[in-house]
Amino acid sequence: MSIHTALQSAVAAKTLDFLPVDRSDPVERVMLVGQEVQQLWAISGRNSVRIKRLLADLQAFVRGDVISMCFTPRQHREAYLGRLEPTNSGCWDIRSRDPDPSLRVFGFFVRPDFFVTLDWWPRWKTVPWSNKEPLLDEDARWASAIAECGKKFQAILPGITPVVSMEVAKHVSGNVSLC
Amino acid sequence: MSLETLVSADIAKTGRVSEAALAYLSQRAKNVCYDFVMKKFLDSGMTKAELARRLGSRPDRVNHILASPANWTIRTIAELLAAISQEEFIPHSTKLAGRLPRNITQADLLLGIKKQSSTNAETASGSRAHTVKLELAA
Repeated sequence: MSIHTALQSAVAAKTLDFLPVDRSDPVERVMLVGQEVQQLWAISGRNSVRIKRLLADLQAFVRGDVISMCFTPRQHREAYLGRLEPTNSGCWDIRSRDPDPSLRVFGFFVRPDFFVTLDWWPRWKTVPWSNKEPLLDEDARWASAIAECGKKFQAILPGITPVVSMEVAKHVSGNVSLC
Repeated sequence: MSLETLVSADIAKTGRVSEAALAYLSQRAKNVCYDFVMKKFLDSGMTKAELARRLGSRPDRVNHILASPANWTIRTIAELLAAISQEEFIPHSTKLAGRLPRNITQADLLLGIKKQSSTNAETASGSRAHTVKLELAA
């Protein structure tokens, strides 16, 4: 199955949806969002303040804004996108660090400028809208979260292999600052 | 929901812009400022080390600043623009109401993969190559 067909099928089946953007926003890249992340948009009230900031951060990817990327696991510091271990999984996290609580959105590139996000985690603190435990610096939690995300990817996009490469151009076509 | 609807609905309902809408718009503004300055930096061809020298700052500090807008202030933007492109930061804003929708959506780009695949096949057989983005922009 081609990437196009697999993504179209997932969108048709509503297992993936396009990241919501304002209709006046330029669209230079594509972010497809799994149900775990889609559920965040339904959060209302006081908790929606943090979610709206996360959404704004994710929209920067779709608008084609300059993004900072770090290909070296555990050296991400302030990077927008960080490659995770094991690197052969192709898993990355988008790092929404401002404001507290810091959040991580996990996903995979399926081709340049196409990112599929399937899960999210609090980084350091629990969040009031979910009982997910924060990842902290617990290697086992990270490994489990990454493996789980990989399983979701295979379930939603069977037969599709995420991009696993050190080449920037295999991930994004431009507007990138390497950290 | 569009930005315009988000804000106007809040005002119509409660007389004020909701905290969530304010957070959303302020985060978008921060990201837009980051993109604006970073494009200047990338276009300049300047290294981070050179930028650090111009700012009289340590390279690791500049690396930190350029990686994320999380701690940016108006002062950060003004200093970076002065050092990168000798420009002054002059704000510009547009009304949320009446913005025109963009011609290209994410669904179009997804459709573009299919077009690109068939175009690649044509290219392999000697036909003229087109890029998806050019097709969509036309």
